[in-house]
Amino acid sequence: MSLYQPFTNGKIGVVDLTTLSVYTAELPWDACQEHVGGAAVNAWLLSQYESDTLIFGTGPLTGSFAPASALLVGTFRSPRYDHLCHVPFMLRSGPEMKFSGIDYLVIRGAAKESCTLSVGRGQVRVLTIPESTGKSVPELLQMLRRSAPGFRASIVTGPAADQGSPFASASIGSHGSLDKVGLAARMAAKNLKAVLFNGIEGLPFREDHPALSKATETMLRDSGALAAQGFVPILKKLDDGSEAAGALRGKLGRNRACYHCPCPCMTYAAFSKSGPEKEGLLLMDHAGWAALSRKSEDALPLLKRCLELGLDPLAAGTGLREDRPLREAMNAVEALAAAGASIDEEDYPSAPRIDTRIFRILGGGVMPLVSGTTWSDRVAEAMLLGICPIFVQIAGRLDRSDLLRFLTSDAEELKALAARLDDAIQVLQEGKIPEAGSEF
Amino acid sequence: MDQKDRIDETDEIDQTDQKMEASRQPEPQLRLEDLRPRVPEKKKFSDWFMPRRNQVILFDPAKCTGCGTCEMICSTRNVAKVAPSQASVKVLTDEKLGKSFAVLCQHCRRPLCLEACPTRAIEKGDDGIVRINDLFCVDCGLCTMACPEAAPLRDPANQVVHKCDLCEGDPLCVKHCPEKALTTTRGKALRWIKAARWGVQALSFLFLVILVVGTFCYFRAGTVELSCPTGTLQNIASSGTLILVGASSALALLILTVLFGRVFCGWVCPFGFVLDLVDKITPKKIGWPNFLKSRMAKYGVLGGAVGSSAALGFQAFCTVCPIGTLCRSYGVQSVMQSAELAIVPILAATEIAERRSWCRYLCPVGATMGIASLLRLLKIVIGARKCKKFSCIQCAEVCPVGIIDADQLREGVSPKIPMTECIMCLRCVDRCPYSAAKVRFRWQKATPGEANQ
Repeated sequence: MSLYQPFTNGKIGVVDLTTLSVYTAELPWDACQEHVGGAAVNAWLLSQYESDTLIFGTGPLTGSFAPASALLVGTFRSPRYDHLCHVPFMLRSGPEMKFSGIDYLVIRGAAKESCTLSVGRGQVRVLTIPESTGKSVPELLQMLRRSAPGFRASIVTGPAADQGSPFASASIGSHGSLDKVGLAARMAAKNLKAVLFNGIEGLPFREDHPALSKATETMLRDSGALAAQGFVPILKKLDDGSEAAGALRGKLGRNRACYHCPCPCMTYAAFSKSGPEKEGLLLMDHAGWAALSRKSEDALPLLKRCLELGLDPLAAGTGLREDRPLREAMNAVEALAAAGASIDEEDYPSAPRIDTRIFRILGGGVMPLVSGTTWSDRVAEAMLLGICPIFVQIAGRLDRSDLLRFLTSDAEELKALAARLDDAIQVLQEGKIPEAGSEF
Repeated sequence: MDQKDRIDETDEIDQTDQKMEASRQPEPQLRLEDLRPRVPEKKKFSDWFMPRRNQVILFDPAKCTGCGTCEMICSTRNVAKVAPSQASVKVLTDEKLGKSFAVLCQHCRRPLCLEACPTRAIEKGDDGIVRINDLFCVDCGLCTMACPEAAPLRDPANQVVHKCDLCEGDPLCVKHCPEKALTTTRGKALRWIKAARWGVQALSFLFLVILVVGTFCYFRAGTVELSCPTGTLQNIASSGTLILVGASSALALLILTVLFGRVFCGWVCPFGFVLDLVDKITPKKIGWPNFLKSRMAKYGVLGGAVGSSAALGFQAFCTVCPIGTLCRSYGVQSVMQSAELAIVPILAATEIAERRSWCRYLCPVGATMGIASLLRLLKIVIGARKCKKFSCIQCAEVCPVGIIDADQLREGVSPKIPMTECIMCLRCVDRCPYSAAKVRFRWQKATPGEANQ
């Protein structure tokens, strides 16, 4: 039996949007063994299909008792960089996909009309909703709640993707995401507006997992790794983070964590502490906020507009001229979303001290809290196992063996798994589509 | 096939039958106690001294990050799987306001789900835990509709109704919550305020009624003079002159009211003490008709008392004042001097309708104190964060003047307390197991960060 069977449905959903046909298949265990899971299995699945295929997949630890096991990875060939990219999605998207009964979702072809995929009870349904085109993200979500009620997590695109902006960004619900490599554009090319997950099934767990989870959390707490919580402490670790953090003074609300994460790294920001503007939004994109707040004092309304349009705030911040009045800045954001304006790829910021190609292969949005190869190794490891890539950087004391213990307690198996993980990390960082080791 | 083979085969079949017999699970048998729904036990005599303290889970929304660990750990116990949607606790997040809430059973003192269940499958044990008896549950979902918290949850995968059973006293969600947003409590046990109040009331009665004759209406000890403010008002009205000594002696009680609220009514008033004693022996309350339940009536009585005194030229109301009557008519030197004492049992009989009916609706002395308490320094607040609202309602039950709105609590709102009506008996503060009811200065918030009432 495979190592991953205990926390895997063992099911792949394959959708052909051209013919609107759907089928599910058994997950090949040998490929799963070889590529460990998550982004690597996504890449292997991509090798089995056309190059424009889009894959969503979960890791072997996604939804499990491992801390911050919230990850869902979207894998595709980026239209912007023309190489393989893996975009991490957190909050509850990963567990909801896994509990929907499907581990990997393969999306082939392109639909003629705007459509949405609904995943639940081990099945995938294609919903054709032509009127969803051009809707802002909140409007789209409202429409989807009527068309496909009961979904618990979603990945959606906004008008920016519909209008062909290369800087469109897929969004987890209405909160945005760390998609900075064009996953939304790939979805738009397929006429795919949203993927909805309804995770009402469950998976059996190993008996020692709750205790192991508690022990891991206690270890991290005792080591002080969980002391700095919220959006701002992480923001301050960025080069221009202190200034960006200052722009949030007096606007911060409660912290928010992803699924089973002991260290919340997101925070709600309110437009105003009282009155009609009491409502706010969830800050999750550190780089995006830093870029916007550097250019404008009205960064919060601009970020809100970016999220409504499904536009990458980092691109919006890069494209803005400094100290423009709010109305002009809004117009610039709208123009970027409408693909009426563009920015040079050279101007588009990357992460300092990180290889730009690897940074983009791993989504282009996971800010470095550790430097150099440590970052690329840890983030790749997280994307393979199904753990939040920000959390693995925060929880420095949490090493690989701590995570792998959730997969197996056998020392020999642990060693073999670690070796395979090393190989998979290397392949992932190269951005190559792996040669198929087994027929699928 | 020879004889030996046939014997071996028969043995094999026998052994298989035996194995199958052994592996067959015994059918669950219904016992009499399974059929008898369990309901909360009536109050025992011992509960008066040492009240039962049942465990409940407290949720602090300020600490919750919405990580859903409670859901996942709960589902492992419910369905032996990691399946957050099948948990008995649900984390809801208001994405616009950025607030997360854990919806879980409060194990109400009088569970509405228990009353709504048509098959009587819901029971409340002696340990205070409200459970669903799976033998009888038909998953109709009426309990999910009856519960104000919507705590019984329908499992969307199997359409079965789940409900928190506190993990039989050791809740897993509390143990695993990384932010400690969930905690358990059994509430406080100390009820010293109750003992202190009864002691003060008894001593006041002894002093004002038994030891010193005529004390409440006018009392003088050396240079200290005290008098009833309502009596003084009548005196001024009847005589048409302002006697400064009398007025200043009446001020003492009013200053006490400004400082501490209507503590006289709750702790000192001898007639209030009589009413509290009568309340202990009167049967179930029958209630006043609504048209009689105007709390403004006592101000009318006060106005009438002053007006009639002015018209008649003597302190008219004082002749029938139950407080004054008690103080004047009964003493060490004179037993039952006057027939006017009859007013006391007549008014005390109103207790059969509502507790402290006289104080609520008619007492002009209370009205005078009520006016003075507009300037009070103290207030009683019920903190929304700690208050368990519909699941508890103990404060509303113990309030003798009925100013804590039980309906608001049932709707999940912590009620405001109208302090001009509050007699500062502190029963609510004393009884609240979760320390939600507190005495605060009028400018203070209920708890830091909480909306000012």
